[in-house]
Amino acid sequence: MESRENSWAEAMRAERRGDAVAYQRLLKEIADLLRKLVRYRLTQLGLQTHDAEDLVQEILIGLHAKRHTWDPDRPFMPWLFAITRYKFIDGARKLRRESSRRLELTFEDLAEIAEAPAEDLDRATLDVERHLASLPQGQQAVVRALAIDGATVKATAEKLETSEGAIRVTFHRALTRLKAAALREKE
Amino acid sequence: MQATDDLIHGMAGTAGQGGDATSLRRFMLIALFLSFAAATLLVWTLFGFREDFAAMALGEPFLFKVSGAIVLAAGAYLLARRATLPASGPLNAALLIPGMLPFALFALLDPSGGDNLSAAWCSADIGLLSLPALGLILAAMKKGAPTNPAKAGAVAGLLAGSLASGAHALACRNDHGLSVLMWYGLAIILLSGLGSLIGRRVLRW
Repeated sequence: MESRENSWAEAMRAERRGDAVAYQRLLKEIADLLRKLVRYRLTQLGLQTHDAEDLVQEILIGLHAKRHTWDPDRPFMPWLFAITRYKFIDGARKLRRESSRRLELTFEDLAEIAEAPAEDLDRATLDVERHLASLPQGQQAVVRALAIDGATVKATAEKLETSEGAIRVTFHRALTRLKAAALREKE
Repeated sequence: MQATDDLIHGMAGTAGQGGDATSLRRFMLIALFLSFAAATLLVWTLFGFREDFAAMALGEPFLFKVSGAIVLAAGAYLLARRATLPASGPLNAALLIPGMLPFALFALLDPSGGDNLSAAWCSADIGLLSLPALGLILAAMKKGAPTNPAKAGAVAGLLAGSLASGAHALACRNDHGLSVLMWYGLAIILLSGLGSLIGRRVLRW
């Protein structure tokens, strides 16, 4: 069996000759490898893996933009890993910054979740949906994105085309409203 | 996944249009010569070459200064190339030792010690001379893929400083070994630090 080093280096040489088919196959194979690598490393670093595909794309773009820096007289894999390491560190730093900005659950929230009886889980989900439905449209979208889908404030702001500050304010109002609704129900 | 496939498809369409490492190396070499030319031109317009140029050019102090600057620049250039092309070799500081030897020998062999403080201007002059070089070298490195922008910038500062030192020797009236070692050394070290600060911002990609 031909080694990956040889076949990938050969595909890179084919790219220099303008062989789009060989280059596309190469990029797909590299993307498959990167997917595994990125997921593994993100987990190791304690980061969420749902942004892994974005990171894979950034590495691919970097590799494509800097492909002229690979010297055909040198082995390909060390070059690939040098590029990957650089782009991964860059991307992971960004993810970490974003995740630290993510709204944190308070200790009381966590305690409440932990104490909730497990058999009530289905009912609780239904309750969440019911309460959400009572919110105005805008607040619904924000709560759904932040609390249920787990998106970042930044991503949500971009999706809803508004500022991060506005998202925070909306989220806070929605929580106040939900809390009031829950209290009313208890009484 | 779909988005990634689309991205790959788009990138594959530009196969063969990326250039190669040989032209990047040629580009860096051009930047190197332009840098030295710019520093020499600046020396000539700002300070003028030494009046006793012909006699000086055969004298020991000048030969020590120029050989040190050239060998140091050669080492720094090798490092700059490695910093620009990923996985093309370690950034081994030992490559700079040959360039330091002439300066060290000069300081050891010349007992005069000399007029140290007035020569401090040498450092400032070299710093000034090296600025166009630093810009050119950083611009050339940016065409590559420096995987450690801060270190790559430091190497760029080192290279610019060595080239400027070589050019400065054409005007330098300081022929004392120890003060040349001190002030040329100080200038090159400071430039390396400046290069590192700039590099970590501008060499990112």
